[in-house]
Amino acid sequence: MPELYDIFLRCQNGDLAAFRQVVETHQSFAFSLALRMLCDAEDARDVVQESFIKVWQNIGQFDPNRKFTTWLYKIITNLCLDYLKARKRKNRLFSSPLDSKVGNLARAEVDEEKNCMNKELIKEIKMLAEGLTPKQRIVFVLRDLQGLEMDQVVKITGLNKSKIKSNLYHARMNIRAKLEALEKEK
Amino acid sequence: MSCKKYQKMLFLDRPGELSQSEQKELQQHLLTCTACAKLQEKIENDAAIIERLRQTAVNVPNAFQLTDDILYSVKLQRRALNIQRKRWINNLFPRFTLPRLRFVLTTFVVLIIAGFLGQEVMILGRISKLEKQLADKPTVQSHDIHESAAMKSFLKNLDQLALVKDDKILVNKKSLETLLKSYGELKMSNRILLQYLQDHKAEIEGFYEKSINPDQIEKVLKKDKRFRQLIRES
Repeated sequence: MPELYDIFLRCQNGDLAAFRQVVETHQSFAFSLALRMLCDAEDARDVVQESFIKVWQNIGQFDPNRKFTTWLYKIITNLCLDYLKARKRKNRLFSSPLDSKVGNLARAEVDEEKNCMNKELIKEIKMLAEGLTPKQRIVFVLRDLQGLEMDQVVKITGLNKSKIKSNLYHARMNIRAKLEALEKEK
Repeated sequence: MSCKKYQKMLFLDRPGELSQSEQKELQQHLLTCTACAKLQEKIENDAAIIERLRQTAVNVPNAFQLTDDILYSVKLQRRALNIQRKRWINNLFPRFTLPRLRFVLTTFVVLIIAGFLGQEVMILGRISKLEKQLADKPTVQSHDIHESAAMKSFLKNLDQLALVKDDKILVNKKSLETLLKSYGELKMSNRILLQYLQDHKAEIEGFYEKSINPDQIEKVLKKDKRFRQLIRES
């Protein structure tokens, strides 16, 4: 911990080598979170990049005595929420059946090329989380896929407990319905 | 009771999501409701699938490239900020190198310094003048008070100490002696009385008892410079 403290102090003094250390230590965790939320490797990469730029821009306001991951969680979650909302808007605007099919096919091909390592995971999460609202998806990922405590989810999302519970309930019910449908198909 | 409430509770049956009383209520319901018990089993299976996804590690494709990309973006940002700052300074600096502006600025600074120095000199002059005045004479206010009070007392004491008879002043020698002896503690009124006697020594002719030497009065009065000045002014 004292080591991390020193690294953040150096970052606050504009030391890029120290910042590289921060990025190297946390980028895997950041990418994993963004990928689980967005189910798109390319978008996840962009979010990770943007998140670390935000971290650098606001490193002066960060208290090195506090937990860095909580702050990073907050930044990534907010960025992912923006991405998901933008994606939702885009889908609504260009939602002709032909476009979406072509789009999905093209996207699937790109995904296949770029994310062969996480292909299976993305596919499964995508299948489960499809149709969830951005908030439901965020809460589901933080609580169930990241295994965070309720209090941590409250801190990161800024939502109150009852709202988190409501979103969780709808997300889990939705997932149950999908798994039920899959079972029936089999 | 409707199972809907319990079904909702089943989806939230994880640590920290249901209260203790809710959990108890749910457990009691599950003992009697087979449909809800079945749903619980399915939800537990779902949780197991989700747990498997949670445990699955995510690999960062081209991790080194990602690190480099992030640092490159940060460097670009820093450079952009530095350029912005430099541009601002560069725009500002040449303006100060213009000869006219330099002359105006120098004149302005010199005038300000001269103004400050002039003010200082004026203040010092006033202070020394005041100090001189204070050293030379007591405050005017105290003079006024002493004088008016002294004059009143003088007129009163004049009747007791001396009287005018056939245009001649007759002085009570005993009273005068007492006054002279206690000169150090004399009131202003008595001093004025003495001064009066001194000024009119030519007119003082007779005394009740032995004659008094007017020089004796003068000697006493000469000792008190401040009093003499006061008399002179009045």
